[in-house]
This record gives sequence, C-alpha cells and structure tokens, in this order.
Amino acid sequence: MNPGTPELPTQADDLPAQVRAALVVEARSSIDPASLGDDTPLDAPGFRLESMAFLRAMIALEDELDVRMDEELLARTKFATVGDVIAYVQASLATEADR
Amino acid sequence: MTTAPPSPPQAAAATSPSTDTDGVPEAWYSILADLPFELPPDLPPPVARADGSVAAQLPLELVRQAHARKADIPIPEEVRERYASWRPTPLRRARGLERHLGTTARIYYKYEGGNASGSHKLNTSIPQAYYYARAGVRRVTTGTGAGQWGTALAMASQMFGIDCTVYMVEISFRQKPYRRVVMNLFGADVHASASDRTEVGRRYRESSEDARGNLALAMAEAIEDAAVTDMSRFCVGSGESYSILHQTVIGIEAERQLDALGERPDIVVASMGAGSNFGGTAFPFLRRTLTGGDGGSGVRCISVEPASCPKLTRGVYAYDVTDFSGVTALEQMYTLGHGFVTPAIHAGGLRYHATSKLVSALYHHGLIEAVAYPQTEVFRSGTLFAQTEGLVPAPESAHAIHAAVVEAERARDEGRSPAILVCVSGHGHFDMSAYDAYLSGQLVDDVVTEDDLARARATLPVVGDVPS
Repeated sequence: MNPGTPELPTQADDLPAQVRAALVVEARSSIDPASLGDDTPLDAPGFRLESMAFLRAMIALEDELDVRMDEELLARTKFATVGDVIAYVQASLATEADR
Repeated sequence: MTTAPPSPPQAAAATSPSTDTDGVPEAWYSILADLPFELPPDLPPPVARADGSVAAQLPLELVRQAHARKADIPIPEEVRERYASWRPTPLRRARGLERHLGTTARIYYKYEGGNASGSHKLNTSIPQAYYYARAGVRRVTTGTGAGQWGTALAMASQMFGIDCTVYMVEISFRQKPYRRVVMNLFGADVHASASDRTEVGRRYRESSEDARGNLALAMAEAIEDAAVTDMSRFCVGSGESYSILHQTVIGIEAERQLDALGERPDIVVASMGAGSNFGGTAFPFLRRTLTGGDGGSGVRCISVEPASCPKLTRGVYAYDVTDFSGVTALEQMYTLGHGFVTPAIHAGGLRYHATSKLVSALYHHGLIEAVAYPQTEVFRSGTLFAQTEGLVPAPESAHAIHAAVVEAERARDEGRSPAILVCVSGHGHFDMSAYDAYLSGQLVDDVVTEDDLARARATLPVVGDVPS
C-alpha cells in the first residue's frame, strides 16, 4: 500500500466502506473512497482499476476480513461498478459462513 | 455484474497420479521475502478495456504468490506428484567439456530437458494449470516463441482437464513444425501468429510486411482471445513473479545436489528470456547472499542474453508494456522498447524485448551480472557441449553454456578453479534447422546498432502521460 493513502476502516460492519477503501488504495487513486457510489464505474475519471489492482484489493480484503474469496464465482464474474465488487465480497462472506 | 454458468467438475481429481515424491522440493522460494528494497509499483495500462469492466485474469493463489513476503511457499501435493514424474532433474559434472577446455574450473550442469515439453517450462505450467482448474477456468490461451512454453502448457492443461489454445510466433511455427505436432498431441489448438483470429493479429497482418511475428504480438492475440471467450484465461510462461517462483525448484534441487557433493558454486549461469529460467536457477543461491548465509563470499549470478536482443546489457530501466495488447499494466523493467524488432535469431525463447521486473530490479541494484553473446559463438559452444557431453542443448540453453565456457577458459588462463553451475534449460531436438545452419556456415550475427536502439526506445510510453 502507498503512503498517504487512506487506512482501511476497521469496523467489520462497514463492509462497503472497507471495499471502497481497498479499491482506492490498490488503484493508486487519490479520490475520496466515500465519493464512490455503488454505481461508480471501475474506469471512472481519477479511478481506473485494472485487473491486477483489483486482484490485489481482493487479497488485501481477504487479510482484512479474514475470509477466503469465492474463487469460482470470481472467475465467472465481470465487474463493471463498485457495487458489483461489494456484492461479490458480500457473497464470498456468505459462502464462507455456509461452510 | 455479469456471471457465466458454473463450471463442470474438473478431470484433475480423477487422474491424480500416485508417484514417489522423494527428492522433490516441498516449497518454492520467494525472493521477495529477502529483498533489501521494494519493487517499483506497476502503473495502470495505457488504455482501459473497451467496456470498462474488470475480470479476474489470475487465480487468487497466483496473485498471493506474486506478492508473497514469506520465503518458503508450500508446493501443493498434487503439483509435487506431477513434478515427481521427472524431478528431481539430474545434476551432472561436465567432465568431457572440462577436459576439452583444459580448464581448472569444475563445471556442473542441471538438465531440465527430461520431460515431453523438453524444457524447464513445465515447472510453472503445472502449477498454473492446477490453480486455473481449481478456480473453475475451462480454457487457457497463451503465446509461445520457441514453442517450449506452448508445449508445456498443452501438457499441463491436459493433466488438469482444461482446453488450451496456443498462438505460436510465425517464424518458429515455420522453423519447428513438429513442436506444433507435440502440442496437438497433448490436445492443444495451435495457430501461427499473426493470425486472422484476433483484431490485433489482423491489424498486424494488414500493416506489417514482417511475416515473422514476435512474442509480444502472440501474447496480445492470446490475451484478446481469452478476453472474448467465456471462462478462458491467458497464461504467461515467464517473467511474472509467480512463474519465477515456480521455477525455483531448479535452484533448490541444484543446491541440495551440490551440497551432497560438498560443493558450493562460485558462479551460476543461466540464459535470459523474460527471466524465469534465470531466476529459478539463481534465486535460491542468492538467498544466502541476501540473508548473509554465505559469510560474504557472494555467488556470482550471470544472466546470458543474445547480443541481438540485449535488454539487460544495452536496454534501459524504464516503464514499458509487457505485450502489445495495451490493456496490461506498465512495469518498470530493463527493456529495449516494445517496438524493438529482434533479428531472426534461432533462440526464439530469448527474443522478448524486456525482462521481468524482478530480475530487472536485482540487476539495477547490482546483485546480478549480465553478458550478451552473438549466436555463432553460442552455437559453437552448444555444438561443443553436444560432442563432449552427449546432450544437444536448446539454442537458448547454449547461451548459458557459452558463458560457462567463457568463465572456465578465463579460470584456466588465470589459474583459478571455481565451481560453475550452468542451467541447461532444455534440449535442442526441435532445433535442427538452427544447428544445420550453423554447421553449414549459414548462420550470421546480426548487429544491433545504436540507431536501432534509439528507434526502439522511442516506442517507450511516456509515463507522465499515462492516465491514472
């Protein structure tokens, strides 16, 4: 992670904020994570998330949330918006809880 | 978000071999854990994907491995069992070569050609196919230069029940027709690149009179193919940190084998394409240097590249693209510029315009050395090795052998007796047209001029202009 970028929120119940923060950190963007809406596209001005940055964010969230992301769902999914990513992380948490 | 249907069960589970894994390393070595510096970050690609969406191009485990800060990364048991079909690979002393040279040096070679792909590439294609299959991917695509990587991925894909499509650089496709047959044998679909199957291939065919193709183009075709085909992913054979990690089984085994002989190499040499053969051989030996375990005696690790594709010895340390797709991240690496047109040398696996960011950083920080040799000298040493050791090396491997010969002759002349380890990364049984050209005096050395280099450097992206 880069110096000067936002810390990941620590409240476990604020999952969307954690996801938004992780995406901003790995996209090396200076945008305010709170300004990202669910419908913000992943190639918005000042916030372009390429594939490897997206995957690094997933790894960071795995550590942060102590969860294993759903690999098969990941391979089958195309992500267009920030909301898509949040929904995926929530689905991974639900899958983990079912195990 | 859009999702594809769930994948069917993979064949892998049904075809697990039961093989004795004695002697196969239990873990790969991640040099990232011991680096005294941070790697420069990747930068966003020059252009966004057409629809702005993002898909996971890699299984998460490969991403974890590419950023691993733990030195020892356990090798999955199923991968070790596959490795055990030809590993540990032999380490031999090249006494015939030593006698011929009259050298006081001791030359050891680690031979990686003893599998059906004929090269070290199977060391990473197996774990890659394993992780892709576990992630539910049904098909992989790739670009291949000399054909060794394409063959290795074809084999590994077949092991784990996934389909494989290979784009093979046109000149190699023509020079090595039986490489294609071996890939077909393992079920792969093989196309000469530039092909008419992709936009990037069609553009190249329309705009370029150069019908030879190149690896960056073949990779771009494979990337485009995977992007437009459901549940397909692009696999890369060298250069990525995880592929170098997988190749460290070479150096780990060699270190154990030399330890058993009471030897510790003074010099380690390996050829340089994008970096996985070199990194896989050298990094386990650099571990002692980086962690202070060698008492300051520091092994010399020498990268050997073609004089006609001199990325480390004459390139620049700059951000560049890793292929022609334009949609992959920019990496800081030693590069000639992605527009560099490599002369039609026979070591197809060493024609890549750049080398990996990991190897590049080590060179930048003075931890490894680099040399470059013209192909006529390389083939002379390759032929000498065949005649004295009874093993025909791939042209890529002959580069490393030539460097070992140079070091052994220098030691003889200076009255020293170093132990030299050379990685013979593959056999040259598909390279007879190259050896024929050498033996008949038809082989020539292309000269890369400063003007050639300046023109290629002009193709480097201007980082300040890269959108963030």
